[in-house]
Amino acid sequence: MRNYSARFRNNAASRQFLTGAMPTRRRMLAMAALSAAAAFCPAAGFPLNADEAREHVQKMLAAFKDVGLSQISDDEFIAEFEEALGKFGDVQIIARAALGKSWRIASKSQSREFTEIFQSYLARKYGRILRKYASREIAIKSSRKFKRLYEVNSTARSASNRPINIRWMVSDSSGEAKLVDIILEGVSMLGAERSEIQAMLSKRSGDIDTLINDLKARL
Amino acid sequence: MLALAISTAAIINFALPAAGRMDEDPFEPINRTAHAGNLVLDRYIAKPASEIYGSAMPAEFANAVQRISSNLSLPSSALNQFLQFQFERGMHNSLRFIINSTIGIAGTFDVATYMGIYEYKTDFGTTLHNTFGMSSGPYVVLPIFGPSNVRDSLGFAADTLLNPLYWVVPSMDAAPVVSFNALAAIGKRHANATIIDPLYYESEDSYGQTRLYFTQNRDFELRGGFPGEDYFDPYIGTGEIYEELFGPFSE
Repeated sequence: MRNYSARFRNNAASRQFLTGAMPTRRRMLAMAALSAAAAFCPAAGFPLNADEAREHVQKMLAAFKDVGLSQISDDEFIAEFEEALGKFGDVQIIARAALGKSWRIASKSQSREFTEIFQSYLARKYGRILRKYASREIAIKSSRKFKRLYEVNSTARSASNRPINIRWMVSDSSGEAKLVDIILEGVSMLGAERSEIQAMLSKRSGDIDTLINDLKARL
Repeated sequence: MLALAISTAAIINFALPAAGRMDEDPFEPINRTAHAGNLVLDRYIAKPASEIYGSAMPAEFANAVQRISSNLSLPSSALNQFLQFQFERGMHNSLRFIINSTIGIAGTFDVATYMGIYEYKTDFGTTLHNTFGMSSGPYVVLPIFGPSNVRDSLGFAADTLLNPLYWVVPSMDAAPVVSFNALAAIGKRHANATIIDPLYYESEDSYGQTRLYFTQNRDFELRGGFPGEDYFDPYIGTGEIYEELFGPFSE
């Protein structure tokens, strides 16, 4: 990197390029740290395949088999779903995507608190929908690689016996298999929450603390 | 009539820009007004009515209403399937309509399913998409009928005109037709409460959430396979692009 900037130091056009689009020193350091981490992390060089992604979802679903038929209450189901999200999903990355640009201005404690609340919020909202909408056992049909992600395709039945399509998006970008999205009949949870949280933020003029407190009050 | 609908669709198709980005919503101001009106109608009429309907009506009665209503949509489905070159499905729907309208007493009983003749739902919006390659056009919120887009609004109008209730019953006797449709709509509202209630009442941005739900779900129905090419990977560019969006990666 040093050679690169030294070579172009006296070129006016490249100087503009360096100050405009090149990463800041802090960011360069972060990138260097990341690549160093990648070199030492054994998981990063070991990509997932479609079968492993399928197994990952299978393991998660084993935790709440027979969605509607089991005897547990809604609250118990939501608690189990929340635990499964934390264990099998990458809630931090989903929370980060939902918070969008505000993630970079959030303090460490804000982003930690938001991630925590967001996990409960996701579990409550989607646990209830999943339980009511797909009220029978979820059967995995197939899995495939999709861009840098894996898509695990499954079918459940609604109370009126209509087939419900649920796709589970699994990523190995963090170095291990993690669930990042649940797509119910084509509707992406990640997409819906990015849109919802952005709308909530803009209503609160971007105030993250108010957002956290209001989400907390909803639980 | 159908020819007119198709030629109108063709003209609009040329006028429409190629499939726009999902976040483009040129009719947003008027859509928001329509959505707000629909919310009021739902809060004070459709939702309470559907709750009463769901708890007071015997399930068998509600199911019979749904069966009659779906039987009446069969001629339109069948015609659309032929237009989509789905001949087997079209035959199923045609036979189904004949059997259930006669032996099944105007669709009250579903005899055809026992005979192995199933319903394949489709609509004119799907025909415009599959056969005529029409793009959806901008998002539209129809008063009373809810979320749609330009193409599917046209399709909805065509399907409505193809409903036998509108040819058989003379316009003088509109009251029973309207009340039956209202009853069927309330039953449908009840059956879909799990989806509609969170969208309308548990979101702070019910307009945005409803639009997203409709657009993605309709896309899924038409193309079968979500995610599409524009699917957002939350890890994308964990290097520069990612940091540009979200800040440094480490916690």
